[in-house]
Parts: sequence; structure tokens; C-alpha cells
Amino acid sequence: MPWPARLAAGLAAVSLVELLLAEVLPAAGDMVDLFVVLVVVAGLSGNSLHGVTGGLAAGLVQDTLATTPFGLHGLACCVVGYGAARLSQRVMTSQRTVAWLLMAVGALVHQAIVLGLLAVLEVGEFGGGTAVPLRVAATTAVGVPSLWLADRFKAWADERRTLKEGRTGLR
Amino acid sequence: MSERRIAILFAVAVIVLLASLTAQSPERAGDIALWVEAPVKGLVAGAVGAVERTREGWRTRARLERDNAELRSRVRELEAAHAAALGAKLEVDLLSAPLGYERPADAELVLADVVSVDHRSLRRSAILRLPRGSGREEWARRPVTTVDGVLGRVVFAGGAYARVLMVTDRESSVGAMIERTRRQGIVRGTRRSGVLSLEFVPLQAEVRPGDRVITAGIDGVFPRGIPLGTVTSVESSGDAFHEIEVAPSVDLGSLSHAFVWRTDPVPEAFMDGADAVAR
Repeated sequence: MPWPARLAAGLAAVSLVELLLAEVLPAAGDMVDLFVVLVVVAGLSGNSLHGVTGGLAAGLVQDTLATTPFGLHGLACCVVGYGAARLSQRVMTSQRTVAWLLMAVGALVHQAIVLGLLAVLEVGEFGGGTAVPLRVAATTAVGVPSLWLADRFKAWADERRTLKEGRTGLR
Repeated sequence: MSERRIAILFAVAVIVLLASLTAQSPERAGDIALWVEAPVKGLVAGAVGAVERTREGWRTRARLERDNAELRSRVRELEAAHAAALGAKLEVDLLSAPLGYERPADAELVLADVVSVDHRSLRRSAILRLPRGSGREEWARRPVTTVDGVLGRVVFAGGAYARVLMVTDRESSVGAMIERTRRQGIVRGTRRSGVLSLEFVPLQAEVRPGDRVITAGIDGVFPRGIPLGTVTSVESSGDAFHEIEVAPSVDLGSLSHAFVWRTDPVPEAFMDGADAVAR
């Protein structure tokens, strides 16, 4: 499965979940930022280009769904995606502590950019203050298992491809 | 795609998104532009100021180096002149010793306020206020000078005041000489205020405009070497003497203080010559 297709599938899934959460559990939808999770996972599992484009695409989709000014999440997710991709080239992302840390830092940076821009531009509100640590913690808590699942899925896909290539070679 | 190109792509995306967000908040766009613009302008102004200060520093340094060189040269000249003067003094002392010549003691100067100046009427004089406690001293005929040169001599003193007959008065006469040639004469006041006349300088003597005239120390009142003025014109139409005009060295229009010399003048009895002897 090519990377754009995987990204599109991931975006579709996250959008669907976000819409469902907004309808069923609005508090949980506000608390967990699944787009940030997707961006960090994309950045850590791909290269810098994947980080930038994945972040930009995810952010713009989030902007479409949110009421904040268009481009706000696009900018924040683009920075987080690119930063995650650059960091993944320098640290061992397979270590659990590193994964926790990267996810927490990604969520924190995203929140900081969004809140900072909202304050500077004076264009809207995004529930700052005490909500920020909770949002970061919840996003990290959801993000780390997602990262593990993404790794597992990638390993399974690699194994399957290898097996398929082996069978083809035997024939 | 290389990492550099990806970084450029990332920067472009960030800038475009920021511009888009700023465009959605026009009232804040001006402030944000100012935030970006002000430090840049400050940086440019600071750089321009630093360059200007550096250039000014170099100019000042060049000027100081030039001045320093000139002053060094001047100091060398003065040192040479000082050495020559010391040599001359030694020579004078050596020559004076066998003659038994004794240099007069340095006079004490008393600072006095000039309280009245009359240099327009026929009687050109000034009134000085003497220091306290000096009323009992004998001030008559004592020389009066300023930092620029001779002002005149005391003709009357009473209490705390003394009247000074200025050198510009027509009745004043001071023994003088041309500093360059040591040729002696007498300086008198003239009808014109602020013009002195140097008399009794023979036609054979060389006198030029610009020559400094100083006291000759031959009148029994003024010590030798005090500036009197500068020769402004020389005419040789007379029969035996030059007609020399001298501009006084003292600016009579800006008098504020004067020095009265505590030297005892030669007694009048000696100055009157045969008459005194007869008395």
C-alpha cells in the first residue's frame, strides 16, 4: 500500500472517529487530539517529506472540521510532523520511553503553537489554561499505543510482503 | 527529495499558513508586521550608527595623530628655546657676578577691582578699589598693569580707592623700547582714544609695524619688560624722529581687574634732577 494511500486511509479513519466522538462523547473529543497522534505516527514512521506533507494534510483536514481559523492546525501539525520526522532520524523511536516522550512533546508543541497563534491573532478561543496539560496527557496516552499498533502493522505488512515474494520466487 | 529541499518546502508551507492566518485577522496584521519590521529597522539603524561611529573615530584619531605630531614638534622647539634661555641666563649671571650687579627683587602684585574707567574725556583715568587693610600704604606713582600689559600709574590714593592715570592720557609718559631692536623712546597718550605715540626714536633706528613695544625701565616707575603695545604705523616725515603710532596692548573697553605693583618707585626728588638738588 503506497504511503499517500495509507495517509488518506488514516485521515479518513481519524476524521470519522473525531466526528463520532463529537456526537457521542464531546468531552472526550475535545480532550484527545487524534490528528496530532496521526501526525506524530506519520512523522516517526516516515521521512521528513512524510512528516511535512502528512502534518500539513492532517492539519488542514482538522481545520476543515474545527471552528478555528483555517490554517491554524495546518501550521501546528506541519511543524509537529516535520519535527517528529527529523527527531526520528536521531533517536531510537523503538524505545518505549522515547516514544512516550516524543508523543508528549508533539502534543505539547501543537498546543503551544495553536494557543500562541490564537493569542497573537486574537481570532478565537481554544480552551487554554488547565485544559492544556490534560489534553497533552490524554493525547499521549492514546498516541503511544497507536504508535505501537502502527509498528506492529508495519512489521506484519513487511512480513506478509516477504512471504508473498518468497512464494513467487518458489514458483 | 533532499533534506534541504524538504526544509525549504516546510518553510514555505509555514510562511504561507502564517500569511493566511494573518490575512484572516486584518486588525492584527499591522501589529504583526510592525513586530517583524521594528527589530529589522533597529538592526539596520544600529549597524549604520556603528559604521558612522567607526568612521568618526577614525577621523578623530587621524586628527589627534596630526595634532600630536604638531605638538611634539612644538615641544621640541620650546625645549630648544628653553635650553637657549637657560644658557643665556647662565651667561648673564656669569657676566653680572664680576660687576656686582644685583637683580631687583620680584615685585608683589596686589589685585584691585576696576570700578570706573574714563577713557573718552580729556583726563583718561580709571578708579580702582584696593583690597581691605591697604588704606595706610603709600600707593602714589606705583605701576598698574593688567594681564595684557601696562594700564597706567597711580596718581592719587585715598581710603580704599586709587585713581590711575592711564597710558592713553596725553599727560602720561612711559619709558619704552622696541623689543626687537632695544631702541628706546617715550610712549605718550594722544588726542585719539586708544592710540599711543612712541616718541624720540631717531630716523636711523629701524622700526616696523608689528614691532612690540615694552617698558624700558628708565622712567623710575615701571619695571623693564612689561608690554605696552604694538607698532601700527611708522612715518618718517619728521626732521629727526620717526612718528610712530602704537596700539595699546591693554583693551581699555574690557577692564575688570588690575594689578598694583608693590614696588617703591624712585623718589621724586631724584627724578626732578637739578631742581631737587637745588631744593
